[in-house]
Amino acid sequence: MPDALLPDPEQWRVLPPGLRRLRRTLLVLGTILAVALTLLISLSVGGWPWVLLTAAPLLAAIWAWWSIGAGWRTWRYAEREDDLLISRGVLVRRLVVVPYGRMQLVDVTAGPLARRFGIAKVQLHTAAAASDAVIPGLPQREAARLRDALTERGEARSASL
Amino acid sequence: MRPPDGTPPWSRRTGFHRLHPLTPFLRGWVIVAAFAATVGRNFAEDVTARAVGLTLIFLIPAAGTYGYCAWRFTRYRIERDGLRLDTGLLVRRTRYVRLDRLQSVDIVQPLLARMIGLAILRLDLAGRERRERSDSDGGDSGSDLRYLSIGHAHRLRAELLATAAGLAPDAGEAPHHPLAEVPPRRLIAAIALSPEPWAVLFGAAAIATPSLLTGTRAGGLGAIPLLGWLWHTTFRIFAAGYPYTVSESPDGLRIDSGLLEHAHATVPPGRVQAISVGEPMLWRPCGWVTIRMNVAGAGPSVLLPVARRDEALELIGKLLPGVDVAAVALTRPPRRAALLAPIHRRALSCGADDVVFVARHGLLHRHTDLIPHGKVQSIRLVANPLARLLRLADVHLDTTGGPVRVRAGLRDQAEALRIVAVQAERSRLGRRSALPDRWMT
Repeated sequence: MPDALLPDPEQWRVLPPGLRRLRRTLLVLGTILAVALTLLISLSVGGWPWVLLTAAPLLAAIWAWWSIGAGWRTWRYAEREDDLLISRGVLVRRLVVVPYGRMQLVDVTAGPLARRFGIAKVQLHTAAAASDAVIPGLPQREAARLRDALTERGEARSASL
Repeated sequence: MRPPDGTPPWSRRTGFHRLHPLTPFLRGWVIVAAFAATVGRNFAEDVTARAVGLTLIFLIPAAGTYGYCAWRFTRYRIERDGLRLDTGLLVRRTRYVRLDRLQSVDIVQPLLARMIGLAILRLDLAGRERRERSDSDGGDSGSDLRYLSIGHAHRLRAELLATAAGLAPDAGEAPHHPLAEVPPRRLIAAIALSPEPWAVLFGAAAIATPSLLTGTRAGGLGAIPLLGWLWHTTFRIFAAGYPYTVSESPDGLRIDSGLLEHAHATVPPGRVQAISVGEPMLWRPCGWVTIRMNVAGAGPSVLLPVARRDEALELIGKLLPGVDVAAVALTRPPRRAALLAPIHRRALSCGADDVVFVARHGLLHRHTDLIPHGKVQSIRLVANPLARLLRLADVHLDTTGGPVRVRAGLRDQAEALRIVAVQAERSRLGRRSALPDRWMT
């Protein structure tokens, strides 16, 4: 289905599959833990019918599995000449435009698990707290490139408040 | 800086200055009060004169020593393009305030300080809020000089503003002429016409009446906090809004206000990020409006508590040259938006001209929000599931923290995308034509 809320076909870039893999790995680990706990509790509390309770974490996990995939698919970004575009959201669609000259700082963060998957998060800050421009995962090399490109363009187009 | 009369030789040699010697007394009593509160809570059961005496014997010298040392180790100096502020007894901290990033300079006089002729000089920088949040050691005194004598504070402000403008530091205080004032009668009428005091009054009456009728006094006590609130919504607003003078000078916008606590704020030219004109329903027959604004950092947020509409528009025209709010063509959301906003669709509208984007919302309390294209920090388009079903979307134009949030609600999706694209382009051009950091050069 063509998306009515995406501006003209720019150079949209998508997120790496590693991010989806990372999130789903975490989800599977969490689900196993939750199911084990539910089983333990239900068996100690009552009889066999209580085992049906494990359906709850399983259903939640299926929904989360889907929403991770959908979120990953819809999250994209584009570097234009003067600004960065980020489009995301499954239910609530969002499109953020951050002019390079407005960026105050660019954060690149990678936790230990994210590093194993070769993933880093890029976050842009402007003087407005509402700006909310995040790219949740990029291959580390791409993240570093983007950070350098953004800061370089930011300096060239920098404007005071 | 030309040393003020009676500067000790130490200061003349290094160029550093200290705060007013009475500072420790003003700051110290806060510590004493805090300790007293803690001690009082802990010993509430068995307070003896001896315990209080012992505490005071230890407390007063301790507070005094701390206050003296804190004062002794705090010093500041004006350098070529900034102000250097050294603080800290154990952990020394040197803060360098870059004057070309100055968002506003305020002189604030709390009642106690005002009685002995002292003032706080507050320097606001962009992005200060964020730093404060990450700072654990309470950033409120970050770039404050507290306390200075009032005359010295005025001289220092003039000097800082002249330096920030790119003039010689001893250019003196820039001439200023008043743009708007708030007549006390209008302010009183405006407070009487605002809903909050009446709501509080009725609330208090509703709580107190039954208990007064039945003759039990205890129930009436519940109304006392509400009376405090009444004072808050009436007299405090009056004391903050009268006298109130907005004036214009080459250093920027000056706002002098306060009956008991004096505040003199100076916002350099081009530092106003966004403006909101509020029209409460009851004020509309009188044609009064209130103007609020966003200034980066923790600058003033009220521009005029109450003004006539033509005065307000004129003032906005002075602040944002070339802007005529009344002339900006506003359009309403499409008819189908009525499904999501059956009543207030009629109050929503937005539009833009060459200089500003204007968005209007609110049926009872109508807000007209303005943001110059050059001040837009980021542009966001948000569409929730219901809005998407109707092919609608909201467009937010983000600005620095403050009371004003600019949002064009429930636009047609295609139009929203167009607004985003056009606004990105306008903001790019708007930034290019922005004022330089040093506005007099």
